[in-house]
Amino acid sequence: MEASKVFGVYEKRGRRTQIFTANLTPCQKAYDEKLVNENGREFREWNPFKSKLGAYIMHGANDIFLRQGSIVLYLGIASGTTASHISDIIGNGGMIFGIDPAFRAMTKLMFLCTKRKNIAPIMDDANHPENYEKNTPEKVDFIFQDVAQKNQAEIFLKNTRKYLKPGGFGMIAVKARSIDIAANPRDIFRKVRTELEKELTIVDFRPLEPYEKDHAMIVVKKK
Amino acid sequence: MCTLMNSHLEQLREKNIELTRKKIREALKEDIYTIQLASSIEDLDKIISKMLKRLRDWYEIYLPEISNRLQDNEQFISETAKSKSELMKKYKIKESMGGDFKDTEAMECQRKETLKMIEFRAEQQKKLEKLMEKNFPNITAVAGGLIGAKLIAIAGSIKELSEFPASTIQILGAEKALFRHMRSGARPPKYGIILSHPYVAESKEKAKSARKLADKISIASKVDYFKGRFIGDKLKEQLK
Repeated sequence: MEASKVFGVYEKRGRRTQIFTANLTPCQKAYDEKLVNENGREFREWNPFKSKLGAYIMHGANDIFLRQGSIVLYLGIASGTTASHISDIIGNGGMIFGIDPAFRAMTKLMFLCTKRKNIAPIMDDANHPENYEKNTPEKVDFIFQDVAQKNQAEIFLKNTRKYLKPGGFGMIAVKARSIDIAANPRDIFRKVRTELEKELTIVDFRPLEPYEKDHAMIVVKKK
Repeated sequence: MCTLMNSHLEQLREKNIELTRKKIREALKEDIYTIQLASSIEDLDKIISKMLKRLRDWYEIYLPEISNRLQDNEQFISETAKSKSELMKKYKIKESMGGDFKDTEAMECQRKETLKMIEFRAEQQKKLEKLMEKNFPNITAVAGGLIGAKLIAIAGSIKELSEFPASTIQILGAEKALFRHMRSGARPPKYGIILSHPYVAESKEKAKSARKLADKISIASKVDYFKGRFIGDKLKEQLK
């Protein structure tokens, strides 16, 4: 096991490269991932098939712009699979504010929150960022979005305008099939890119093909 | 500074957890309970059909003639309560192809459990219909308890169903066909689960009656969501 080029992420090279994060809560699992003990530290396997951020790292990302103590706004946190790994990376100094409107996902997330002290649940609709302004800090360092909505680019822009600090980074997992089932995914990715480029700087763009079909990850920086 | 910041975040987190707990409790209304019951009935249907298939397989080696004769499931399960010789006499089977097994207890148990399951499903459906009638009287009057509950289940909640246009309600449950239509230009679906409603199923012009029924369900769902008065009988009359 060695540290990869991405901060806080470890990798095991071999026939099949595996990625890990150091477990913040030793001996406790967040979902049904594997735990690996090495050099007196415990690591949790990061399954790229279950997490789009994991898939993005497996595609050779140089940096995911998360640091120790980052404050993260996570739109569409669901039951917290990806969030648990972000929570490992940012450590106890940081905080994730996870937004999801579904009660089913939220009940699961609440149990994760009792284990991990750096996740805060917010049950609200990401379509209306003004609804949860009292529950989040004024500005955050990083915004991650993974929602299945037709207007997901618009939702992302609304939230970056309101919450992302200048110079902060954001990531958006574009679901081509949620935006338009009939159109070619490539055209949709291009469309979303041009929409985001009006306000933000595009840092990176990668399709997540073998792990997630018709998905792409776009990394942006606020001007 | 750093510790000050952290304690602020810590407080924010505590507040959020408390608020979310409250919000989850508020989100769990009667319609969520109804949805759960409706999907549990759907599960039971699958289980029963599997168990019946197995029972028929069993009779395929024990008394194949009877499984062949009685195609109706209900009749099949009630008739098989009788013993082999009785059945042979009743259905005038002179010689059976089935094997002579001395111990048929396992098969008997399968039959009893299947019967119990069918009864259990009927009970659950009664409870569902009662619940639907109490909470959503208009939808129940127009669409019936089970179909109404299934529509709410697909929509997610009564609020979402009431926001749907009638044309969407018409094809709820036919998502696969709809997406195939959008992707490859195949012919669009004419009806979804409302096809199982007798008004559509027994009609000669199924598409037309599906459209009519969806219209009325759409109106009924809006009335039920805003807790209006009962107009189900009027809507039903308009369908005739």
